[in-house]
Amino acid sequence: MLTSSISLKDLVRLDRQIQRDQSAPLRQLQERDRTIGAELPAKSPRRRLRAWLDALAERDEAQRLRGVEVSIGFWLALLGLLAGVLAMSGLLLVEQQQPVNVLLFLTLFVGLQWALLLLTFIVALGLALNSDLHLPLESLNPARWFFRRTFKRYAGDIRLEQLTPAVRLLLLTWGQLFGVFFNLGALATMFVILLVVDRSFGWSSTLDISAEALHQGLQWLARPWAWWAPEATVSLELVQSTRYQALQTEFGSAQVVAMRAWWPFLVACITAYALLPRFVLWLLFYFLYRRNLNRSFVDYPGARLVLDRMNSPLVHTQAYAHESALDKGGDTAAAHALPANRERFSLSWSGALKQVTPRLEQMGLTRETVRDAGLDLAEDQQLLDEINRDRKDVIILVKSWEPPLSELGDFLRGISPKLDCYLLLMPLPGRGVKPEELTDWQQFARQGHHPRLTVVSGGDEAHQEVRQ
Amino acid sequence: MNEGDKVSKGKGSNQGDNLPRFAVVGHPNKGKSSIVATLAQDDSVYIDRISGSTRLTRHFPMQVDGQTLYELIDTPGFQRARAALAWLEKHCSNVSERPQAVKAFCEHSKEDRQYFNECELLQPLIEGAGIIYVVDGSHPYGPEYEAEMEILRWTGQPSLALINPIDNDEFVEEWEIALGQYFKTVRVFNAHTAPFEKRISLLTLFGQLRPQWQEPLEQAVEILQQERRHQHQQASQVIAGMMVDILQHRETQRLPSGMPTEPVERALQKKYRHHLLSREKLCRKRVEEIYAYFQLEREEESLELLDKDLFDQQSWYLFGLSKNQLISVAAAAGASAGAVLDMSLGGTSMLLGTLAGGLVGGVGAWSLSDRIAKLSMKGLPTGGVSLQYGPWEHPNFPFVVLGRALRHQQLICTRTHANRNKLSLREAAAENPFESTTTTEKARLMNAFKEIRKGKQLVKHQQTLADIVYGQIKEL
Repeated sequence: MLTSSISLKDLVRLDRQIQRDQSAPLRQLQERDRTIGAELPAKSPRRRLRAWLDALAERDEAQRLRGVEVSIGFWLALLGLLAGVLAMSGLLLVEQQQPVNVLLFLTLFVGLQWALLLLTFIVALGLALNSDLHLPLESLNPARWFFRRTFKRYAGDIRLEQLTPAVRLLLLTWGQLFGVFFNLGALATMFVILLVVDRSFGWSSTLDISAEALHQGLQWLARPWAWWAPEATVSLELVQSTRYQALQTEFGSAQVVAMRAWWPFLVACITAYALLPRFVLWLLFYFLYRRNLNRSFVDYPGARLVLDRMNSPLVHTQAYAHESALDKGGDTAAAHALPANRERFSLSWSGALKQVTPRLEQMGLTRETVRDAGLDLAEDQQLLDEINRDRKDVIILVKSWEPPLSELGDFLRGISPKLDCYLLLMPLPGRGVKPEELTDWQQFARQGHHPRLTVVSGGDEAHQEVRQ
Repeated sequence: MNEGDKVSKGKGSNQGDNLPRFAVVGHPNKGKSSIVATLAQDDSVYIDRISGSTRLTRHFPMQVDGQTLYELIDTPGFQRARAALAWLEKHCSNVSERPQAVKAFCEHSKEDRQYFNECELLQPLIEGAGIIYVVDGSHPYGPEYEAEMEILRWTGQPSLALINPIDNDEFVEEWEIALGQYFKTVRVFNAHTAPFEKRISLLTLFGQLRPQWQEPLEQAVEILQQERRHQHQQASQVIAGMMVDILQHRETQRLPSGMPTEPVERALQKKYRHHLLSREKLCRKRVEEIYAYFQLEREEESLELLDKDLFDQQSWYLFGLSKNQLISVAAAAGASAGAVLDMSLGGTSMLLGTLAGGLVGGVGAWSLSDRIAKLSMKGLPTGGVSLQYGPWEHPNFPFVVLGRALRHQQLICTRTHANRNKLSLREAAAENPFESTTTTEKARLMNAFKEIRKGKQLVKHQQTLADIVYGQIKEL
């Protein structure tokens, strides 16, 4: 059963399959993908691509990659929890003789996280605007390190990070997951420490900040929950009574009691300004990541080509059977010239003699001495009878540009094997006999139509004569 | 029955007797196989200037998802037409019985090797195929053709004649007059140069031989036109993919402290260039496969040789941009980037961003290095150094790579499957592939190249490139 959501492992599988297909013959890919595509009912491109991948990608590979994403999330959550525990323990337990400075507490657990949230927001904005803004902060994301290490092991050379913003959104999602568990760890640790240790909170600053000003600021911070959780707010009296000096070691009992009253406010601050924003951002980025992953899947380089192959009809116009080149044989014939001063029987085959050239005259061939052949079968038979009776050499003028036909072969076979036969190649007026034409006729001469057959070029160019 | 026959019948003749079939017949060595190779887009067809290269009938079914829409049949040429006609005339005196006489001739001569060619070429006609009679327009008409045209007339099948001017069109008019006496339709079709549109219109013409063939042929033509657009889109995707891969490629090597860097530098350079070459080769092969060329021989100058002079008129300019063009494009690209900044500042920058961007871009292109890429070195915190060769440095380089790919695609696209000459990129590079591209479009390309080099938004820029390449392909 197919699920519609795409995971990062699907992108890895897609990337690998596309890489594998790069060296495969296209025809093979077209046939394979069209077969898969034709069997699938009409679905969205994403579902079709996913189904294609499921049909092709190796099972064990998918098995190995399954859960990598989840395990990275798990380890990051654990790491975040541990970091939160350590950070809160460090702040609350390192110096027990002095009260915990509320200003330092807020700076570490709210201010610093807000600064990180602000940078996250800028990165997210960059992604949303599609401007591909890479901030150094991204390199600091622990999720990035996990991703590179883990995916490298399972997916080898990672192109994904470069190719898709989904990976960057995943890193942002994991960053928020880390943050959520960091704050959960911090809060849990705070509760445990407050339960088992008597910790006091006060405030102190080198600067001359008045209690009124600080109170105003803190009231502003507590506004989101003041109306439904007034016990998690601080009064002016509390602020005034819990100020202490850095080197102060003695505190009055009333002051000590008052110092215990800070923690609900601090818990509310972490929850409202650190945990909640992290959680909301985690949900938001997770949603954006899933959406982007689905889009990236179809937009992935090469994926469109796959979909094209699946959706387009397979057009085949070629022959299925391959033919082999003919064995043309070697040219072993020896050069030979037309016989001089001998009686001849000259024929013009299929109207080969158009005009008498000086070269033909030199050979003693004129219009009057050349008889027509190759036009009528009955006349050809009469000519054969005459040739075999007269027993002269036979010269057949043929069109060099026309291929030799079997019917000429039949005619040659009718000539007595004791007579010398010459095929005189006649080129078109003003042109010579082309080498391929000569080769064609030479091959014909070698086919055994007549044992004493010679091919002679009748062109005005330096002539080439060959004897079978 | 040959293998092709078996497959075509077994796999696709689901339309029975209504399947349009066209037998390409004629004298030997007149370009029948060339015409079939071009129309069937099959470069495996054996074509030779020596006659008799086709010995057996060969079937070329046009199939869409296994369903045959029409079939072309390549046949051997007539060898004993006069004797065959004499047999027919001897055995038939009634005009209405002529097709039956042709059938009887084939049955009678089945075992006779003498009429093997005649039987091979007449058999598809007896089975109902239309006649496509082919002659060579570069050689004159002769009386020896009359017997074969007469035999074809005896078959009673619908027919048309094609004059294939193999070397020139000197005798086309003479042929038109001669063929006009035997065929209702005579067309000139050069199998070696016919553009795609001409091939399509010829197929449409085939469909008009019989009323019932018109619809499947129209359907086939529509599918072939779709397929053509599809091929263009695929080619643009493949070229864009190659560009992204080449433009961001780099070779790196870690080296312990104190080790000489020179041998490593040379090795990296070699590896880098090898990658470029193999990637280009892969792209070429894929584009050829897209257009159904599987046995093409290609010759082109490798990028390695072009690295000698990046503005050599004889090499780089054939495919890339001249130095002046490059400066203006770089200035335009810089200005467009600056304009984005100006807009984001709501115009308060008084267009300084545009001006500065243009200036920086132009000066950058003017003061160019003379290499495709260069070596960079950085120290490692763990000791030693990391050497990196690439990615590309020279702004003309991506234009040259893209220009070469476009030129190759254009050559493939305009070539016919009957052409057996080597594909030469250099000889064909008469016009620069970016000649008609506007400066704005070139600037858009340059910005995309730069972004790809930085490895940014590769999916987006690959698609941008594919769109631009598709536009270029359509225009070319």
